Amino acid sequence: MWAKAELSLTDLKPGDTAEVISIRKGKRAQMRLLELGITPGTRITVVAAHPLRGPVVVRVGMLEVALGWGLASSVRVRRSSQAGHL
Amino acid sequence: MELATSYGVTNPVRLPRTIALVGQPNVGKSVVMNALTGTRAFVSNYPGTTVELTEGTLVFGEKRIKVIDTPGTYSLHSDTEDQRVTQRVLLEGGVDLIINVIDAANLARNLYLTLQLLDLGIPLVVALNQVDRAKAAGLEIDAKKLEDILGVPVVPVVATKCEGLRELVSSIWRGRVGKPIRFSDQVEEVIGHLEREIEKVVPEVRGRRRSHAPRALAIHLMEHDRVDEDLFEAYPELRALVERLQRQVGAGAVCSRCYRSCAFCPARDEEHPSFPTCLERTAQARAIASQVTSVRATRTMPGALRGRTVEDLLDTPTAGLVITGLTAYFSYKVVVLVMDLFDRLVTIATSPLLQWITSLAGHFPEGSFAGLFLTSLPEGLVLPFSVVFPAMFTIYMLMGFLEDTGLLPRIAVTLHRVTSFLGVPGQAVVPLILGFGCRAPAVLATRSLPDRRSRFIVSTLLSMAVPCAASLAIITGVSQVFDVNLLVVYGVVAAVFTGTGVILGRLFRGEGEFVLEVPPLRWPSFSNVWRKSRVRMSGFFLHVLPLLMGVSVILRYLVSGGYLSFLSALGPVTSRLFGVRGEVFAAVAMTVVQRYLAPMVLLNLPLSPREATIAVSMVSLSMPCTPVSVLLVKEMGWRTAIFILILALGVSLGVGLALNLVLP
Ligand SMILES: Nc1nc2c(ncn2[C@@H]2O[C@H](COP(=O)(O)OP(=O)(O)OP(=O)(O)O)[C@@H](O)[C@H]2O)c(=O)[nH]1
Ligand SMILES: [Mg+2]
Repeated sequence: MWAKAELSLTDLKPGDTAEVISIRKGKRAQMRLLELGITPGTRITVVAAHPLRGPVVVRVGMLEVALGWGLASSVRVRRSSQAGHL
Repeated sequence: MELATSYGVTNPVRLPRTIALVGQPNVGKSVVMNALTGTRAFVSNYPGTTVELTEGTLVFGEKRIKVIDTPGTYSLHSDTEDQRVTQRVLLEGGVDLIINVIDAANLARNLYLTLQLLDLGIPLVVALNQVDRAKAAGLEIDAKKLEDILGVPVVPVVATKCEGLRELVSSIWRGRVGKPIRFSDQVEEVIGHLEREIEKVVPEVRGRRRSHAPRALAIHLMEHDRVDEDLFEAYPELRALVERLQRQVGAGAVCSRCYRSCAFCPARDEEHPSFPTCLERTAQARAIASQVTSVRATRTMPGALRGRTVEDLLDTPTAGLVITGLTAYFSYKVVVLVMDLFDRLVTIATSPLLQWITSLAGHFPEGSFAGLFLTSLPEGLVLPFSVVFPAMFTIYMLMGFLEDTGLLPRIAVTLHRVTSFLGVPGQAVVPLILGFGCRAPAVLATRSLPDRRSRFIVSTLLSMAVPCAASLAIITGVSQVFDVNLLVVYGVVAAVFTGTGVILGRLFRGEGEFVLEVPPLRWPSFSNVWRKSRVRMSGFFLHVLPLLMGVSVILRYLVSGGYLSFLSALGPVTSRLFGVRGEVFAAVAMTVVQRYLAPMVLLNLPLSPREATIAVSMVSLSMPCTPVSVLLVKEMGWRTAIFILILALGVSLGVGLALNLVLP
């Protein structure tokens, strides 16, 4: 099996699309992302990454969410080709 | 009566007495509220606009139904203060029907909350809002099918265009409890267990006014990892139950696979599989959303496509910086321009009147009340209209436009790196910017910040170092009179703002994560901006104008009667330490009432430019005004409020001392 490499959300560039595999942060952070529709299995597209360890902005469906760098780096993702609708 | 028939209802049976509008942030609840009840709830394009409850009345035939607009909440277990306001309303009981406003363009995420509301056992109607936006993006939603799945009425609505609101109102009497979802067998087993325990300790739940299904309470217990005081207040019996279960968990008796929430489990956060209900609900919400949504062949979708490119463009870091910079610069320029214009116009328009008043005052004997009143009238009347009114009005209009575009959260994202030096997340810029209008609603707006620490830091900065529009205007006006060096004043304000933020951020460290929903860009609607500005300007006529006029008369009286002379006895001390005369401290004290009144005190004193620069700086960085202090006590508690008050007084004195040493 050639499992695609697991990356951190902060490794992605604007325009990249990926699927969330896991969120390696405490329950509070996981819950806040879940409320905004980001859970393991969610397809996201990176919209912008601010410099100097600034926030990463991603699109989830028709929604945009900004994540602080620390949180973004704890989101493990796998590259995928196509953004989902939901 | 006509209304009911015009809504197409002939036989309104079982009408609810109280309806709550509930939904995720920024979906359009307040637009629906205003359309249904004619209230003037604020509508803005960012999450966290509404932070307290607004009540209105829906006239339905002969019946009057109370409608409550609530702060947006992502879920029933979200834990910012504004979201908890909504959860409390639902927990307290007394809501007979929920209108769940959802965003058709973000169906999956919105249905998460809907599924939670279904569990509550309160009749529900779903308003499927913003279908225009969904359509523009090529999403078609089958409301009928959604209705069948959820078991409650689903009404497509475009609230901003008033489309579908009639149907929404006439579906109120069809509101029903609906079909709660089933979780996996393992989870249902735990819920069932908890449910039976709850039925034992909370007898006859349905027989009481607070009528939540035991199932809802069971799920609530599973999903809240904090000890939920709100729940215990509504159901005191549950406290003992939770304590008992926690003891059992501690003894390893109940939770083997962590299907209890964290409250019942000693496992550490990171290792915790936790919240199975939440994950399963997310999955079900997604499944339902994809069942009822069809995506039209993605031909070129002009509107959506264009909007998307613009958003992509504006979300780049460079664009963010440019937007932030331009917004600040442009706002400053416009405010200065309008104030300048008004100053000239009002001076020209009122000078004959003022001359007449002054000559009239001459007829009265020196020191008589009428004479005093007339001589102080000009400054009490001219200053508010030539300076304060234009400043407030311009700032509110600009703020309204900024709120409606969706740029505010984008500025927050851009500035997150900067604000994190102050120990607060980027969204803190929203209350801080609101503070330049009026600090009282800004302190309330801190409810949407993620933790108490950020709320404390932002509230402190607001209380101390953010001048509201009225103060800003008066400070500028008075500074012109005395030839004050405004650069020094605003330099000191900026320095204190930054310094306080950095120090507080260091002292109260926290690891709060930054997560912020960035709303779509929208064209501001002029009528909405105008409406908001008008509501906000009512403060000018209700408080600012009467207070300025009253205080200027009283001050004239006190000064001319020599009642402030006891302060001038302090002169030798204060001029050595602070470089100002004793009476200036009457101004400093005045900031407790309203900051914008303090410069009026100075206006009655013969100050040199240096003295005035120090004095104006001292009152510009001073104590929170009375309305803000009251809110601080309510929102943050006595101790914090007193701490902020003392800190602010200390800073004001410190600024005086420092300037006296530094200024030539
Ligand atoms: N296109 C479109 N925009 C809408 C519709 N309804 C509301 N909006 C816009 O959505 C934004 C949010 O509206 P609000 O009424 O303030 O939302 P809310 O749910 O009260 O938000 P919070 O108070 O923050 O929870 C505003 O900019 C509205 O103009 C709609 O049906 N279509
Ligand atoms: Mg609202």
